[in-house]
Amino acid sequence: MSLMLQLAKRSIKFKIMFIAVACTSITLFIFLFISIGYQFLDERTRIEKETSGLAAILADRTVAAIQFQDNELAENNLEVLSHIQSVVSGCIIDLHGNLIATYQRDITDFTCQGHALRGEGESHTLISVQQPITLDESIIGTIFIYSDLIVLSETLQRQSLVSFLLVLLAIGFSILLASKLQGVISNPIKTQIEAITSIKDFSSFSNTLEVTGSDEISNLGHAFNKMLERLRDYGEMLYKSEQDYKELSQNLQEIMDHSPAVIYVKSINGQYLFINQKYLEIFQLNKEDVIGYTDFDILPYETALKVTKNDEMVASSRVPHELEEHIPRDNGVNVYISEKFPLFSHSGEVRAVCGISTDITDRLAQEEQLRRTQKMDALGKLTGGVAHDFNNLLGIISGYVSILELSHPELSSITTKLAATCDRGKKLTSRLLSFSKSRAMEVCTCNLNDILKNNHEMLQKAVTVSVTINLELADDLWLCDIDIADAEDAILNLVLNAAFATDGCGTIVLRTQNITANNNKVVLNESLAKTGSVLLEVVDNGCGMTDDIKQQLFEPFFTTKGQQGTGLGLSQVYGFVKRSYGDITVDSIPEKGTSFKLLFPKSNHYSDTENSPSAELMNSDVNNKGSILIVDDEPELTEILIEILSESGYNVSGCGNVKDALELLADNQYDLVISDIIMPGESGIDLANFISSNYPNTKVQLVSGYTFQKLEQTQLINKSISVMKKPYKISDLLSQISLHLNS
Amino acid sequence: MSIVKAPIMIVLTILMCNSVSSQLDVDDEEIKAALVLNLIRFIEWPISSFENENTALNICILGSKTSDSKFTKLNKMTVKQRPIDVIYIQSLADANPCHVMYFMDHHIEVLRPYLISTFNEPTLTIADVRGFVHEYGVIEFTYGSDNRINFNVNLKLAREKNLRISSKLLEVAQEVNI
Repeated sequence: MSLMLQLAKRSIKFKIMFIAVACTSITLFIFLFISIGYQFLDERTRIEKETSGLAAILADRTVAAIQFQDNELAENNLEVLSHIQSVVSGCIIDLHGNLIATYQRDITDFTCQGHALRGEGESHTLISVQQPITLDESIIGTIFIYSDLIVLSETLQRQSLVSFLLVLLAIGFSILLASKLQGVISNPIKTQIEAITSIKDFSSFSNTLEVTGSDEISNLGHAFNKMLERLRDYGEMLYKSEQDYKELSQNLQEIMDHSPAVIYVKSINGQYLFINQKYLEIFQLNKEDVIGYTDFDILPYETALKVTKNDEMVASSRVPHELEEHIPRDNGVNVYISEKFPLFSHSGEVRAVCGISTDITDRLAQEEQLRRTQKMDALGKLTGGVAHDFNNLLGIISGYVSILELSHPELSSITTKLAATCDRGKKLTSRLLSFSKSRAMEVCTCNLNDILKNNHEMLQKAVTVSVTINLELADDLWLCDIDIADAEDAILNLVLNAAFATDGCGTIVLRTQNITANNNKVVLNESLAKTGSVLLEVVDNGCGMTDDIKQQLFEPFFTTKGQQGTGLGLSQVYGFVKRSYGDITVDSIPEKGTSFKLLFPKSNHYSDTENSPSAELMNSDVNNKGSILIVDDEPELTEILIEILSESGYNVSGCGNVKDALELLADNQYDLVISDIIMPGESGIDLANFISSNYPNTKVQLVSGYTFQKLEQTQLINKSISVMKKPYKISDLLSQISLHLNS
Repeated sequence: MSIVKAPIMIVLTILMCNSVSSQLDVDDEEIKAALVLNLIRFIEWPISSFENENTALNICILGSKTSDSKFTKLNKMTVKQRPIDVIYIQSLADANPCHVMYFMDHHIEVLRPYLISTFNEPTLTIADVRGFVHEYGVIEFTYGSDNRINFNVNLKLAREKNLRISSKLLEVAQEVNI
């Protein structure tokens, strides 16, 4: 076994020579031994036969010598044995055992005595032949011949020596021949080895071996060439796959680098193996500052500990996990939703953890904003509905109060108080409707700086003297489309809240600023910033507020002032901003102060604050003649209007819906139709458009307790049709009727 | 032509009753009788000289039979399974049919006519007469210097007589004429 191991380490040349020489030597030696053995046996047999034959001849020839007792003749006969090299002794005895003749080779000590041979070395090297001498079938004597195989052994030894030398010569010759002929086998193999070792890269696959002949080595060459051909094909496939892989990797890298999410791969030890570009952008790091490092090298200890525990949990559970992770940054704590999953090795062990973390801080804020908006919308609708119904009730009361004033002047002290109470009720509903965005707005294009300047003195008086109100107004402030009265109310509410927060001793700053996408650092509403917007910021250094308070800040009737507040101030501000298509945010730090940021869209119109509605018509002579159709789904309001307008001299009819109104219009001619907008079935807009199309001489006055939006305005065929806000004073209505009928 | 063998000494013993003993005091006739007996063991006669397989081998002795003739001891003995019959004859005219003719103390001149007349008959002629083998005799007993009895053989004559003499006998003979 050792010989095989040693032989395996040798060159093929040595192996071939060794095998050839070994086979030759073993074969020759085996042949030699067999030959010697066969020769020995053959020679022994030959000697035995020769000796036996010689004994028979001598026996025959010695008959006369015995018969005539011619011992000399017998001696002469035995002398023949001297010519047989192997014979060492011989003797002839007569029938009575008398020795007739003997023969003894000179070099031996063997002598015939009696019936046996005596002498040294008689044991195993002698062949004894005994031949009776007969005459007329009667034995007259016996001849003994002894042959010594030592002579044969010596002969064989000489022959063996010669054969051994010949074998050695043959082995030497076989070595010489094998060393010459081994090249027939080893040279092609060497050539193939050189060809194989010359293959260093893919281009070398095009090389092929030159193969001649048809033996096994040639077949090996052919097989090698075929293997090269297949390797070339595989190489081309591999090259193409490698290119595809590189392209895919590059694409994947680009995809991951452009991903808005942070993508990373960490080893089981927590070391970063891969990160995408977003990671570097967020943490403002270079790649070499991250790869090979752990979270403990990058993040604060507590954060790194939590993140690392998350990674370990993913690795140990071997299943993906969606986790929320809070990562502190320069401008606060960002919230990430991280999809983390284990990466497995071929053996099925977790070798790394991959994470895809998406920053949901803005989304959470927007969701919170949306939730709050939906809540406020719901509250607005509820509040608007209540206020609308309450408005109608106030309208009825107010109508009857007017009738009482006219019919019973002595009750003026009572009717005056009732009228004042109705006004207070109207203001309350106005605030509610303002919050619910249902109140009709008188939008005009104006400059917020002008509003602030005009109201600065009034605002300063509204707060205590120990509270300072500073204006920080931007130059060239853009115009915006807002209801000035609402804006004044909103500013007053914010200033009063700020003064309350400062506990009557502090500073309030009213600041304006043009906001673009480039300097949008204060608001979340990016769409407003992109199109350009105007910022009104009210900042105080008061007590600030907690997050819980911020959550409910704009809800109606929520107040921190206890009995001193109504809870409608900020809800009015919120409704005003939303009706103006703007946005509002609050930043507050307890014990530091609060900042309200009101953002309004930049206007594309010129200022029209100077074109205030003319009140001339209000004071003109009233011609109280004409036919009027009242259309309102509130029967009591319709009834009181018919009574008042009839008493004023008008011919008045009334109905509760558009369908009935159309029938009345078909049967009668009206100078003016006063219609509510929101009614069951078709709306007042539909009725107005029908009248504009079919009865061009009939004027239309729309009234509504809800906000009349610009969108609804665009739905009117006759754009000159105006809308009165409910509840309205009878005098205002009469003035408006007079304007229509006298125009 | 004759082949002369190196001088050999033959010590004859008389084999009687298949017993062998060395009789140093035996007489000359007895030795010759034993010698004749041994000689005929190595000689073959033509088959035609015998009537059948059981026909005896006649040994004729020219001379008078004495009371102590040693040759008579050869009677009843067998050679090659044939009985020996010793016959004494007084004249050569009575010689037929003799397979062996032994002459004792006779002059060659007396014997020559007989020998010549029977030179081609299968009769083995033996005599202890000097020059016998040169006068148409087949076997001649001779005496050596040590008084030992040897014999010479006229092989050519034996062949004339159709007698086949074994080479073994010829090896023992002192002289062989061929």
